Amino acid sequence: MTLSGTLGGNHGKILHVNLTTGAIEIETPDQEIYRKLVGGRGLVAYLLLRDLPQGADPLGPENLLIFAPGVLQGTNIPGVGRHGVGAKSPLTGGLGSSEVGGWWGYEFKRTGYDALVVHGRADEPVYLWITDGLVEVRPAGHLWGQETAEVQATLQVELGDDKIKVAQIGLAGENLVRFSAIMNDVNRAAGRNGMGAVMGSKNLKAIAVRGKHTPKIADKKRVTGVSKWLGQNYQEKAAVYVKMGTPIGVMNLGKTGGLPTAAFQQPQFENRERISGQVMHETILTGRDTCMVCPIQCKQVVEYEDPGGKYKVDPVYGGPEYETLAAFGSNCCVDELGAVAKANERCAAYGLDTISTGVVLAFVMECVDRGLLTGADTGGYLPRWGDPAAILEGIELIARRQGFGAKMAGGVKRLAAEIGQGAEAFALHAKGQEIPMHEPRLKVALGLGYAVAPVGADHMMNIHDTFYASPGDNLERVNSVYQVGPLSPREFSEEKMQLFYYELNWKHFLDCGVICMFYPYRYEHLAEALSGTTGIEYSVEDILTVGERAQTLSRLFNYREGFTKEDDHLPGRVMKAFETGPLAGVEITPEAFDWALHRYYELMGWDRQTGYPQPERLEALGLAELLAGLGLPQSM
Amino acid sequence: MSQEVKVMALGFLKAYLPEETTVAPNQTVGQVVEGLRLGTSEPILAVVNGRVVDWNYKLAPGDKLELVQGIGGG
Repeated sequence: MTLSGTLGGNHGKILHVNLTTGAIEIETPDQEIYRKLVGGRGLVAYLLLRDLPQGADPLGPENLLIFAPGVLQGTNIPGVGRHGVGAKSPLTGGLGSSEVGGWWGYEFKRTGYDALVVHGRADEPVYLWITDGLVEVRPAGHLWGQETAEVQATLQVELGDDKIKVAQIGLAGENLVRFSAIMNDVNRAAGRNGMGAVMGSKNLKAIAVRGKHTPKIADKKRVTGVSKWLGQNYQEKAAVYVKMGTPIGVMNLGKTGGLPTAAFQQPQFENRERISGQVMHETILTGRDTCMVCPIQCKQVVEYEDPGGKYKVDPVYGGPEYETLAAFGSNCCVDELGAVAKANERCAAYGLDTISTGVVLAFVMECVDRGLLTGADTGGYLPRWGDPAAILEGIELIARRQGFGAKMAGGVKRLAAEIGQGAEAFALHAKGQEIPMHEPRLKVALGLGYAVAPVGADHMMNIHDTFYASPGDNLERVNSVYQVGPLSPREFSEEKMQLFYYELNWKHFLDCGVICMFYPYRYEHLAEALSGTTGIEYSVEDILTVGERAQTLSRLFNYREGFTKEDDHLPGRVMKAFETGPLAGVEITPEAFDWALHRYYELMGWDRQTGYPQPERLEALGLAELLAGLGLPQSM
Repeated sequence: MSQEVKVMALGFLKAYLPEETTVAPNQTVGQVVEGLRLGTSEPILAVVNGRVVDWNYKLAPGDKLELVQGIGGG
């Protein structure tokens, strides 16, 4: 069945709000945009290419801040309760694209819009109130400086409805910390790329939403069929997320040498059990939380108060996931779970990305350790490896931009450039974004993925080689388009690169549909879901093409903003072999990396010499027409 | 030295292999895991004598094989 007019799953409307002029406009995009891009990252990259002036200051009023749920948002398919946030990133200067779960995206879509684009800058702090048929810009002076839980509670009282959902910035976004997050539902973070700083630069404290317009679904029976399959299979096929969630990674990755320790310098963290998911579940876990339409309930909720009262942790801020446990724990050699949980709580209250914050703090620890920073440089802030108090003090300094915190707030790339003395060699980032808590020496293609991700180092729009090291669901998914057996996680090969190509397109498709990556869907499940929702037939090849379009548009945006092939770079530290431990002797040689990078360019239809998307591939992807008139060069 | 290979599961894989067991050597990791019929379709990583190894790694007498679930995301 095909719906007339608007595609199923969409309202056919994008809301534009200009905070400089107060103008509110509704765009009714060509249906081809929805068909080809689906939503999320694809839509974000396209709108930035179309509407953002080249070279715009990421923290200037010209930047656009885009909220884009996926086309499946509003269906009953588990895992689609997410939305994407995008802008030009103040951390990298390229594409900013961060995806987040919770309930805000669902409620926003119910206000009757498929996306929100915020333009300009308000003179004073404001918040947006969007509900059925109403879009208001309201004063937010009373909210400025407040923590996220206070802001949500205040707005729910002020607007008279405790079901209102709030996306907002904390102190860090207000203070333009370049790795600040946009929080929704208090404890969910669109954490990466500094989207919070973009929101802060617009003097926009919060966006409150409440709606009742669920978009029409073309064929509910087809969509429900996918949901039923998931309902029958998730407990077995996503068992690790059902039983514990991501914190299992501390012990599992710790065993295999994949748990970053002392800023990726040491092969294993001996005290990992103390910060593990197992110990967290036995001691401070009080519950599990979930997102819209999600039975897995992977989110952690912790509550804690140590005898001295140092680490009182409020459960309203959820609990630490794997990335946070590793970033503030093993990565900084901290083995106090209570302190790590407190660090997580503060980051949620202030709106800070826990990965970047942890990497910045470990970098400063290393600089102090090597004698590159003294008390005179840092105003007396001298964090040492393993010191939990230093973590918490550092978070306060960064969020408030106090003292040395103002420098740390720029991220490791800027901080290393300022420190000099060779510090750039251990500033762990790609394209300016700090490296997540997954070890490229355990997962070599993930290392390549860090280098080529349009947003800088990212572990979600990426593959984890270990998923394909044994037979199982992940290989079966890929085998529907490319036959391959178990592959070594520590080697590049032609087979690995083919897999990398297909799975990166899949991951980018998931970020266009804005679908959770913890679900065991196969390609054909989501092709069926998308077909049933929109009323247009999508094949497996079609949905993978959606992902490739998103990657390509993101690449074009970055090159327009001055990026080159040289930015597809991985720090040398994470390529060199450990002498001991589970990964002893494993290295990523520059030659192997270079071969894999160029093979990826070939598979993507990008020029081998420059990495720039070629006209023939743009034509094949159906992007040439969409990009006509945008002034992009044909080649580089 | 024992001529057998010790095998143990870690973490949630213990649900499928609660106790340490032994298998004959000169098999690959993949052959051993398939023979154990662990009943999970989630990814599995193998560590032999403290080192991460591949699916086709051939086990020698006296080896200690530890199995752990692969994990990503966060």
